[in-house]
Amino acid sequence: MKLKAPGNRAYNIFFHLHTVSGLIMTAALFVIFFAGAFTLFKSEIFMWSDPVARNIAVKHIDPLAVLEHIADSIPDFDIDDETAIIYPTSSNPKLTIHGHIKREGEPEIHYTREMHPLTFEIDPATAATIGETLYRLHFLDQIPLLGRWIAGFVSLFFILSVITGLLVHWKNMVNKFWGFVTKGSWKRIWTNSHTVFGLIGLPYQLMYAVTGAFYLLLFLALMPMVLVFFEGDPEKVYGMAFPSYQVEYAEDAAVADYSSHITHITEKVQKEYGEAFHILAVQTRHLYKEDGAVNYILQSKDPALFSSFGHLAYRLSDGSELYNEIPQSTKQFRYEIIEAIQHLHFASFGGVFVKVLYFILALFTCFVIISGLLIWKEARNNKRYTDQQRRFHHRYTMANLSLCLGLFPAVAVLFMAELMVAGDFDEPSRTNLVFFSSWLLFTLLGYFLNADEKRLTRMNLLVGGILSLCVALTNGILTSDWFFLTDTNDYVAYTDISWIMIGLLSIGVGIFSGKAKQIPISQMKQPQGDCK
Amino acid sequence: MPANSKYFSPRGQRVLKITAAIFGGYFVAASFHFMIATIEPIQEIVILFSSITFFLLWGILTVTTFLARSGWKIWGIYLLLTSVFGILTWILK
Repeated sequence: MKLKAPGNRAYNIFFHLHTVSGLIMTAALFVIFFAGAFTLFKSEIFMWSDPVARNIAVKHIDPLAVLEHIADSIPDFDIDDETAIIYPTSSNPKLTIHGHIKREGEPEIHYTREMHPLTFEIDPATAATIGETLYRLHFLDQIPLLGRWIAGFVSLFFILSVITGLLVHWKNMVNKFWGFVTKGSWKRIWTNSHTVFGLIGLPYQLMYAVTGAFYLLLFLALMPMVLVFFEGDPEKVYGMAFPSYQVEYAEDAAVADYSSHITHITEKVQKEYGEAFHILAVQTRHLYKEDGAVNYILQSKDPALFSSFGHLAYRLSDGSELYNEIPQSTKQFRYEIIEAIQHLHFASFGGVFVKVLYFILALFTCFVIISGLLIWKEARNNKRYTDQQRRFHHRYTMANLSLCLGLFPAVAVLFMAELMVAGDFDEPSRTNLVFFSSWLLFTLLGYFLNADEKRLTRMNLLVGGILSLCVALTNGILTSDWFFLTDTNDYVAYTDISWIMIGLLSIGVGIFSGKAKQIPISQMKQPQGDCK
Repeated sequence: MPANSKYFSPRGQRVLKITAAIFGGYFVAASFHFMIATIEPIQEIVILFSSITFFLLWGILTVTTFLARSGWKIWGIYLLLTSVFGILTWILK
């Protein structure tokens, strides 16, 4: 079955746009998807990266006690401003505190720390860093000032790449979707799998292109709207998406202490909704003022429910209900839109199965990015190009590829460094230093030690594979929480087992790819209409 | 086989088209959403959905920009569209 093709001129323009945008963005896109793939499991790997957290058994959280402790122990903490306590989950037993530090004559600072749920001990800046480092890397936040903007525009132009890719293959789309080839020359397989994985992954990739642009470039979309329709007050727009922004607080509210009411309000929420929901977060504002309020974000225990967040709020003084948005009963559609973006982007629906699926699709996307780069080079590896041009194509491919593939062993090093380095110094910046310098080292080694892409890939697969196995070994030796022992925490054991599987798989592929014969391009038959 | 270069634009045209794709596309996407958002009963839904449609439209416009034969013309079209949407917003608001 064939669809109507775009005209010759349009076809070539789409093709060229696809090539150029892909070439420019190769490294950034790969890093975003690769680091993002691991970030999906940010909470699941938390206990692995923070051995202290592995043995905490949380029974009951008293939000009032937590709030009072924060107000007393953190200097200059503005407890009347918006303060949120993120509750422990099965994968992360620690509390997370969000609040504001206000000092005279200084701009307000946003404050985020993790807190021990029983002793209320507050961790230094970031005790564990793997999740945080990879999370920030996935929007290039470590590049000062420009990082988020680069990642934002990469997302925008990823929309362009996805659409032009689709249009280039429009005519043969239906056939190609089913046409996965495992026979024939390697180059044929590369081009074919670029198309097939690109098509299969298309909805996923387009979703990430749009939601990624949403998170990073929201300011550009929202700012003009706010100026035109809401006299420059963004809270009115936030209020459309999050009910807590609709609660009114008087700036000159009188001082009054109704804070003790939190305890029985929380009990009431637990009693009424505790069966179907668990509390994700408790948020307060004007805690010691007359019009103080407490907000609850709930999540449904039903894993089949997509739009699973519920919202409740009560005035502290008289316990009156300010809003009640419970999924499948009182929740309005307007609150489901931005929430849907969040669930889609962070895979926070459908349980761990969806996350594994997302992880695999992210790696497929990395494969599509890399195979695109290789096709670009191979399609130009012929007599129509001068030797100088071809050498440049080779260097550009090798440089991008060593940067991209070097990230794999470097992530394994990051995991090991977390337990080795931070255990000694309690210093996350050193862990990051080890991570980024090992990435640089693998990039340079990859570029200068290898003559071609095949050897480079093999080196990174084998080195990364061995280091992956070492991740589980490091954890076993340093913390004695071996993955095969029954009293080891499930999240820790599964993290180790996943690394062992990744390790064995990449060593296997590395050895297998060393045995596969490579047919020189000159001896290949150009399949008709393959690249065109 | 790489794309046939006889359909590509010369350098000056290319600069015009790239800027039209990024800035022109942004202006059109923004002003179009203003215009739709002036319709009171659906204003809220339009603004909430613009978190998706804004970037989708902007992305699509970056593609269509390059189909234009002249960079000047596409800049002209985008500025014209922006002002039409802008004026309609001003009238309807």
